[in-house]
Amino acid sequence: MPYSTADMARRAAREIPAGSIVNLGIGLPTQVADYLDEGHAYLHSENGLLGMGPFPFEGDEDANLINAGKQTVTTLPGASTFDSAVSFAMIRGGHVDLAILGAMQVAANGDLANWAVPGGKVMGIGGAMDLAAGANRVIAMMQHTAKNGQHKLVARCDYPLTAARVVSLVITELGAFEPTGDGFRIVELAPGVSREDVVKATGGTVHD
Amino acid sequence: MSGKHHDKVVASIAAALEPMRDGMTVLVGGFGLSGNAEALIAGVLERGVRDLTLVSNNAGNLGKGLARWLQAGIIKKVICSYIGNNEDLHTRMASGEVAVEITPQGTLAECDHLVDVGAIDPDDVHLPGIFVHRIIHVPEHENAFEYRTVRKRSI
Repeated sequence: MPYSTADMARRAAREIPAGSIVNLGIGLPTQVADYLDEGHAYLHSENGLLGMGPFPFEGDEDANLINAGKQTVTTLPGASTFDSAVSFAMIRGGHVDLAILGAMQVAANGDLANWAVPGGKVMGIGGAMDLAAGANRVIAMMQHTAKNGQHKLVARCDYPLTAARVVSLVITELGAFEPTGDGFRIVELAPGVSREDVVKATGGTVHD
Repeated sequence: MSGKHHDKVVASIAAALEPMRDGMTVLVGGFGLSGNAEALIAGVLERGVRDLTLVSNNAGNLGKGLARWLQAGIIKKVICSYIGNNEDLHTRMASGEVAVEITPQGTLAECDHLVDVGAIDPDDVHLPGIFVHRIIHVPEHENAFEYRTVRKRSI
């Protein structure tokens, strides 16, 4: 049985050291927060919030208190808010310990592509390039292959890059994988997933 | 000196927007629909200026905020970091009506003009890095939710 998205989020949460400053990207990575003990880490949201809490209870939502995906959120005790320039100084200045980001393609050398599909609708890059380049560690969280079966863990990205050689771990429904430069090393396989399943679903070389 | 900036508060939105001309490049704050200067966004439409280059993180969404400038056809170029589901911009970008330049969010946020230490009068510093020339008090404005996300209270 491959990982469910909840399993993937739980697996990613295990990568978060106590007391660290972590930025969770929009989409799948947002769910990682559900598997962190309160106070374990400080969640940074690039629109200007450190110490982000869970979604508000019905009736407590505030249109001015949002995450980078513009969803209403809450603050935990000790949280701080700040302007964009300060927020991006934190990111670019190397003060974010870990960024967990969604990805469209990750290459064997750690290249990350997560903002545009050639010929597709351009959604924009937001803070992804700053985070991918500025965070001290980058983990990609993604489906192992596209809906049409196309590889997303590839020998070399053919989508435009967000950042070069930054991804240290890829978490997919098949397990956890480390880009090694010339391939992907299996760090962990999801229960019931075989090495052959991974080889079939991966565009680059698979190492043990 | 002490009273130098007390006349920054203007009486009307029209007075606040008086320096606006066609073809200007306009930097607008806000993140999505949060923190938008709704009254001034509407005021610019009333003023009737056009051919604007808009620099903002987003250009409105869900037909609201700065999307109203797109709908009114007063923007020729947008410099932003994220378009997302903003159909008003997607359609005009596809038709070529509006040019779009996408830049990383951190590049939008950072200052690109350095001045000597002391060049900024302390009276001018209201928020770090923001240089205020005119202030208009808007008692009520829409504070739109872009994506309302909530939890159920447990019993």
